[in-house]
Amino acid sequence: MIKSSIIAVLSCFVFISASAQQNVKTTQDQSQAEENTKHKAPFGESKIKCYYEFTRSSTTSSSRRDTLVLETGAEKSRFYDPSRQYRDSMVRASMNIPNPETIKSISVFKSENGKDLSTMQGTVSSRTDEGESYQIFKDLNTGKIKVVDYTAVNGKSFEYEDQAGPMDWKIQQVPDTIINSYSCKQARLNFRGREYTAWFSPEVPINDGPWKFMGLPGLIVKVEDSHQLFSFSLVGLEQTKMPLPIHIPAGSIKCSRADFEKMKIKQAPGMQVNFSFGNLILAEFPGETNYIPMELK
Amino acid sequence: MRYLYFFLLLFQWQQTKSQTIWSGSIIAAPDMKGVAGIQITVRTKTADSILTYSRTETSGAYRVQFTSAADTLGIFISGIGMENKVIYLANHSQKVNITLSPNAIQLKELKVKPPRISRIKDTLNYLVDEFTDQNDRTIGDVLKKMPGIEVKENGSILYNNKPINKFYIEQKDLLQGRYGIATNNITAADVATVQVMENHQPVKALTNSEFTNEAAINIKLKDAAKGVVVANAQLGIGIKPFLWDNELFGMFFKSGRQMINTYKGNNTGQDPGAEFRHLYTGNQNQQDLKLSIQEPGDPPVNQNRYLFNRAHAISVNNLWAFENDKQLNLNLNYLKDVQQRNSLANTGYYLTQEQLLEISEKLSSTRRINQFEGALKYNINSKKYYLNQELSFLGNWGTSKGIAVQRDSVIQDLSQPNYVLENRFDLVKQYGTGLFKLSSVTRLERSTQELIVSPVSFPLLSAHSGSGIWNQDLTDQQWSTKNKMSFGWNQNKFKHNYTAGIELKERLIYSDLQENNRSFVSGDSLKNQLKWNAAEVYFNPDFIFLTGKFRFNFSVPVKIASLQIREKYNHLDQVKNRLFINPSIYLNYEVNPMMNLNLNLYRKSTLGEADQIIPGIIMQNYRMLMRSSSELQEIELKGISAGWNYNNPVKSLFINISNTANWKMSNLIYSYAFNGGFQVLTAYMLPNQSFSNRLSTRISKGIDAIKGTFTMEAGYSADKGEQISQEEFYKSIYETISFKPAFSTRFRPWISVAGSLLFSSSSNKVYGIPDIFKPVRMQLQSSRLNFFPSKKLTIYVSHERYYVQNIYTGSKTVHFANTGMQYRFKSIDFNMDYTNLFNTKDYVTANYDAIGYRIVGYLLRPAQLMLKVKFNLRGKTRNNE
Repeated sequence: MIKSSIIAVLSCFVFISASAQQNVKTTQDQSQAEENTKHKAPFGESKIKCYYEFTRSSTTSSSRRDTLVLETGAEKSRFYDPSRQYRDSMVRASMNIPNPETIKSISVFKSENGKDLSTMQGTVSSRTDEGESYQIFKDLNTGKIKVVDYTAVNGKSFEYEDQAGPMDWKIQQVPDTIINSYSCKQARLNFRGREYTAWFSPEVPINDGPWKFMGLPGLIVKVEDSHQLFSFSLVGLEQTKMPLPIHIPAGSIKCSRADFEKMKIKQAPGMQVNFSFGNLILAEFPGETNYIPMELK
Repeated sequence: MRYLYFFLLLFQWQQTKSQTIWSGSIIAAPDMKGVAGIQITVRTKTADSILTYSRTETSGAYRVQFTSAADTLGIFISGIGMENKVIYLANHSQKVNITLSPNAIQLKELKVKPPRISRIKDTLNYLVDEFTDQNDRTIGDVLKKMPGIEVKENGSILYNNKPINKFYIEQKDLLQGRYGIATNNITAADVATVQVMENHQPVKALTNSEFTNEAAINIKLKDAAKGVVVANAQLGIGIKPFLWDNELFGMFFKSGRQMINTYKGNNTGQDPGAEFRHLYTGNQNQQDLKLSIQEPGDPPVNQNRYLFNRAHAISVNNLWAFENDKQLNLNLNYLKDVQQRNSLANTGYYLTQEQLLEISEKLSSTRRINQFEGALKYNINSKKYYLNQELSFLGNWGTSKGIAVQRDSVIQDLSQPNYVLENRFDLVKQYGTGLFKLSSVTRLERSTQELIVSPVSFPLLSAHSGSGIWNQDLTDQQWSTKNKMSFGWNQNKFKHNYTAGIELKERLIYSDLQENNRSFVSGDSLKNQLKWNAAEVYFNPDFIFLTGKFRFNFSVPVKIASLQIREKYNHLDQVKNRLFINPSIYLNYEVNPMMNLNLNLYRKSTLGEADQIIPGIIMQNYRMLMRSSSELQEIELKGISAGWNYNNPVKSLFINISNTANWKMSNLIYSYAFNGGFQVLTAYMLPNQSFSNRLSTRISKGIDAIKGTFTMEAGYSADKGEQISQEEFYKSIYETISFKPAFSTRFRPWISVAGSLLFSSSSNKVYGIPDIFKPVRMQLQSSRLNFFPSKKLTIYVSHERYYVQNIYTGSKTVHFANTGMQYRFKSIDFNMDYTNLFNTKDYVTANYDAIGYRIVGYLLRPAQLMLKVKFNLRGKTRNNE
């Protein structure tokens, strides 16, 4: 009885935050979906793990830095933010109350009547403007990209295909520069409304890079846009002892890039969950998110 | 036609020049299959610019097309797990198949540099290696440099200006508050991370119901230091005189077992007993009535400059962890020390406005410390249930001998053995949303003291004296039990908690002051036989209101205290019954996850202790007799404290400002009366008020770019009060201002610098009397430079400068300098330290007490040279961990 009411409440909440989507289910489905992927054939395999520091300017606060990871092989790669994925999985896990009969009350707060539960013991939370929720899967042979992303941590995840390559990089005839001990050449690219400058190193024979960038004869060590709103720079590189499989999570709703970007702009500022003494509180962070898209068209 | 021909020719030439196409496939040995994702670049012979580039398809096929005037060009082939190949080809279109052999080329790896400080929820993680310099040996050396963390002189650790409530190693409390043993001995190189857990509730069953705003520290060891015995042995010798400094340290940590054992012995002025200090708050030992030999207080210079010692200390700490969160602790400490001090003291007391009483003494003392303490603790700390049973024993067999010279020399002999036995039991149990707590502490304490003074010069006593040698005997015996029980539950945002408790205490004080050969039968005025029986019953409702950002706590303990005091010789027989209501309010506002404001208001009434109601005379030291009024002190305290905290681990910025103001009302006023150069402490029945204010601020900022930390501390305190001196009533105010910037940095790999400056000024004003005391201004500068000519060698120079403005004799400025070097050969460290380079032999301080001053000159340790060899031993890693 109680369990069904929780699901009902959770569903309502998800409905609020997942904006226009009608067909929504509980968070349990998503974790189930993640389980399922383990048995599917892998998308590819990775041999090198690269860590990029991503600096993103924001209109509201000072710029933010996150460490994102590129797991790449010769043919396929995955680019994602491990700490954001971890935080979000914590939020999802905390909503899966193992004994629903212990729930005595459920309170739900939307972002308009904002709540900050961060001072309460045992609160888990994830802010939309902290880190990146996307996972980018590249096929380096074809230049085709799959992006798996979501707009609400407890909502459905979406997947869209994107023919980003081949990218029209212009290699610059300037002397090589050393960045983080790698000898780098410079290249420029106009991509979806922004001008980018990249430094790549033929020393690492992989034509991959952070985010959707690829197609240069060497790993991209640094890339930034002309307004310096976004910047990725390589801070770590390690070769894995064995090739590791890359999996694409299953169970996402397929949509187009344009549709997903529309939802992303409307996303809520993030989610907090607190469960103590039988009281379950779900609250969105107060305020609004100022999302600056990297892709303008 | 000619033109056309020319054009055609030109076009043909152009075409041959622009349309070179190389294609083919790349196959790998040994199975000769095409490889995908291989990088192909075409470059000029100088290889500086890329003409074009491509990659192989899934089949291994490639195609590159380019324009170049060169005759020969290079095709560069590279791929992960493949050999790199360069082939020079003539500049015309051709098909080239290339075979590569697999080659596990190791790419140039780039170590990920995680931030020095990172936050995961309520836990801050400090990466120890990022804060460690080559000269840092122990984890304590490194803790000092972490922004937000402060290590006090006595070794206690503060986070955001608040003492930590737990010190864990691998999530377990092995040392039970004596964490100096860990910070002074565990090698920094063995520690991976220092974690600060904010708002840490040590009792797991209380996690969701009792909030704390204190933090705990957890030391996470590196894997290499776990599951093996890590041992260090140090041998040190030096001059002058003959000096020795030896250490033996062993630790073992694995999931179910923890152990730290140490031995330390030296005569170099390092106090190994300092590590045994219990550093958790609320755990200080009770003060009992103490006799003493006349000794000056400690000077503000480092202890190792003035302490003449011969110390041996042994510490044995064991922890066994069992299934279901059960834990057993055994901690044993033993300290044997002989400490010698020498000083010259000048004390002035303004008896009246014009009349100054000055006492000059030359003091020397020898203190023999012989101390053992042991504790056995069994503990269950699970999510729903907490049990703690602890038995502890403390024994002191200390004696002191002192010589004081005013005009004649006076010999003082003191023995003061004391014993404390304590049993502590706590229980916490969760019932649904309710919580039950039980706590019981029983304590037995006994001290038997004897002070022999030869000769006494008190006119009161010497008139009767034949030999002039007097004995003061004092026995203080206490038994107490404190029991409380509470029940609490949560109602959404409200938490209720109701506590009922009973406390009983019996105290017996016997004292007798008599001539050594007992030729004179001392009168009743020199004797005490006091029996003190106190009983307190209380009930404390406590309410907490919690919203996301606000936290409001209100408690109103109602206490009934009943006291019976009987004194045989002075015919004292009093019964006091009091009802106390001591309300307090605490408010906490979390502005955002990084900023927090708090406010605390309280009112508290207390009854004095037995040692304040001693009607018979006690000789406390060679020049002070003490007697109290037959009235008991009753105090009413009102206070307010407020604080603002800001901590931003991303920017490594920590700011803390707090202020506490207290108003104290007392029915008694204590005063020193002077009688021929000898003090008598007397209490007068005179209601009076005093006020104190303490303002303190601390800012600490980590600067990653120069691997440095900058801190700034500032404080102001004021104490206003009323005094009686020579039967005259005075109002006085005592103020101090202090200001201390400090920094440490390692801006180049071969050098690190640390420095601090302390300015302080204190003044004492007596109302109605023109300024008789000039403010005392003090400055302390200290700096240290470390050079690292190689990875194995460290050379350091350190300097301290003390300046006291108000000294009329001796020098106002004192300099100290040390230098030394450390060389590491494999796992052996060689140290050479040359301390007190200028051979500064004395140090003078000036300070005020109530309405007097005191200038003391201390004898310091001379220049000394030490050589130490330290062996770092490590057992073999076992794989069963």
